[in-house]
Amino acid sequence: MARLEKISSALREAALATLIVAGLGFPIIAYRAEPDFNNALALLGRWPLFFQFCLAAFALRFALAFWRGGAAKAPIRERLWRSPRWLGPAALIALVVYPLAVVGLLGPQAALKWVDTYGVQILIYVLLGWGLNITVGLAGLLDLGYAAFYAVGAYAYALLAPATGLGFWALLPVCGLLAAFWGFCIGFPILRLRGDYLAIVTLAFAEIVRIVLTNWDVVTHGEAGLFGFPGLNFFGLPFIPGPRGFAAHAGLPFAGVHKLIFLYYLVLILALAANLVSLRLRRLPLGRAWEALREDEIACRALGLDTANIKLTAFALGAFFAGVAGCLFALRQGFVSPSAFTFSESALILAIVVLGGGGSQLGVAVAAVFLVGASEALREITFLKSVFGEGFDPAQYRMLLVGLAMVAMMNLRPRGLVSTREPTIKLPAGKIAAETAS
Amino acid sequence: MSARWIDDPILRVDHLTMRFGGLTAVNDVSFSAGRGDVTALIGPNGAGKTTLFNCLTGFYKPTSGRIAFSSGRLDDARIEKLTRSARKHDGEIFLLERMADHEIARQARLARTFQNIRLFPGMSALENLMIAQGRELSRAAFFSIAGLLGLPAWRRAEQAAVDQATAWLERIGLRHRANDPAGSLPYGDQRRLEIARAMCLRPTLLCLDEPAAGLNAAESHGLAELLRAIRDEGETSILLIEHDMSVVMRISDHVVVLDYGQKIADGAPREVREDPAVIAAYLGVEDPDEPAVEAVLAGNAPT
Repeated sequence: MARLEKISSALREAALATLIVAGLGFPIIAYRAEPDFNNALALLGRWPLFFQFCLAAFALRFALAFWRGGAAKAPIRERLWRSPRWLGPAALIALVVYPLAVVGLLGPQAALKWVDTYGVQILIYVLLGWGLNITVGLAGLLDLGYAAFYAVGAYAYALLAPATGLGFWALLPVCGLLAAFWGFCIGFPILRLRGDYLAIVTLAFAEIVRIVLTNWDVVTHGEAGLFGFPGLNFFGLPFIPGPRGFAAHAGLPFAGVHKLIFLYYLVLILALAANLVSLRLRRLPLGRAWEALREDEIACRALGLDTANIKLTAFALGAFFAGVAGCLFALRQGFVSPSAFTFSESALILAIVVLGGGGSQLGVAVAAVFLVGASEALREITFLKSVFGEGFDPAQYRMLLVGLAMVAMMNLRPRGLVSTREPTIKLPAGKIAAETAS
Repeated sequence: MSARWIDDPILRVDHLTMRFGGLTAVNDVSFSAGRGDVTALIGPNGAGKTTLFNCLTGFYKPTSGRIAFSSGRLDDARIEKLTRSARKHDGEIFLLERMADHEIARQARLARTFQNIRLFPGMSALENLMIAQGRELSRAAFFSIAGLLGLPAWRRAEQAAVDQATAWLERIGLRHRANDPAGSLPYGDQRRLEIARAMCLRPTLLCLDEPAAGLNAAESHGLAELLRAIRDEGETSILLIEHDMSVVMRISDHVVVLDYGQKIADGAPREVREDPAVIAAYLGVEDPDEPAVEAVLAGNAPT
């Protein structure tokens, strides 16, 4: 009896789902507009495909409802999760060993991709995520134009390195400071704005930067971009073959991966430094003021905090990190062009922060690995070609998967991967226990 | 016996007017608050109390009028001299109508709470109290540099701030909830935490906007005790808006009554309670929408 009831309710649910698919699919799937011989559009019926979709929706929905006892019954479960104590050191060791292990396992040529794409690139995004986390996660200022500061850092290096003859050690802080200066400049006009309005102005600012970079041909070479600027060297030793290069001095055979390994450790050290600074700042009056600003701006002012200063520092420090990341980006690519700093770049970095759970350093790092790493990993899935044919390119489905990941996150962990906030300062529990016991 | 608010005021409001477009929320109000007093600002809903408060604390810029405040003596000649100059303060006397909200809190040391509690809900109770001590802490952190390096001077300042915060948490009975998010505390605890947070600024004048709103009888009794204790310590004078007459009559030394943006009475609680204008406007009338009230107001309205 109960079984019959279950089947009938599953049938009802499946019928409803099929109706929805039919309604949505009719304009999308059932007809397709195609130009005919006279180049006029003709409607092409695709009814078999339409019915296949409906049937699939019915079957899948029925199965889901039957086996799981109906949809929309799964409650939002968000377990409090505390990172175990060994996680930090373990992750650090893994990060330090990673490039050497990859080279050891695969040889210097095959390891190139693993050190570069999956190492350096992801770490740069982690650095960007931590920087934006200050502005968005801690201070709660929605910045949709973060790529602008990234671009400032990259172009600062690409323009200043040949012009001044300075090395990257000297230019790294310069790039950061220039980006911070722009963060400060964009901060001023938007001090009075909040929420959506702030987001729109930052978005516009990023577009201005990108368009200036595209059109200021004399300086930036427009869409063609800048290249040929000095690259990395190992404390004065260039990464080139021949007796003057790093490989000859170190007594190693020349390999392209040396430069990338050096860059990897450089980015790793800078990212760890950025992490340390953020974690420490959170415990200082400045960092607490950022979080207080996110929580309640009016209360901040009633407590004597100058909210203008707090916003400017949040923008400037976030931009500083982006500037440093931009400089590293220029070093990695050896080529900068405006197309690397579009809105989708800002959106990706923002997605990293939001997925990570605003304010959490670990969450942001994990989200960066996931979002950037997974979309790169898509290119690796070659066996799908044998299923879907030669023309199938899994990388084309990247944004679809990012969207799916977002939907899944909103359902499973609506407040980000790591949503628990640890207080920056605690009264020791022992004293509290004594207090309540007495 | 002459009143303290005349002999030794801490705050003097002269001809304060606040207009919003065509609406005059506060109309030519003058009063003083005595040093070491609990001054209550009462009046029916919409009388302009909160607007006046917002003018005092810099959240509104008054249309006209002067607000002089001093932690020392409010000397008439010095106030006049400061008024003629373009300065905001002379180091001791502050003209609040010229200052921004955060400057008032930081420099003049006027702390305030809000009618609808404004804690930092996601941050712990202890952190809320630490933020209020940002002035001392950020000086010790020296543009965050000393703090980032963890220098001893910074550590001492941080420890002192934690000690003060802990003392306040103990005083309001929330020591055991120190590490919990402020937003998760019960309503009455949040009210007390907000007062403790304001007190962590070490204010010379504590401005409380309806601190007893939403509290039960026992809680508002406890609140009155807390406020009286703060007053008796002598460091902080109190200015409060309150509807709960039992609290007002129990703890205040001086009552100022507003109605329709104007001051209708000013004096010791006993005098104010017997003032016919106040009775008509506020105390003796249950429901201001009753037609009978109009008659009472018309008959007894002050000229």
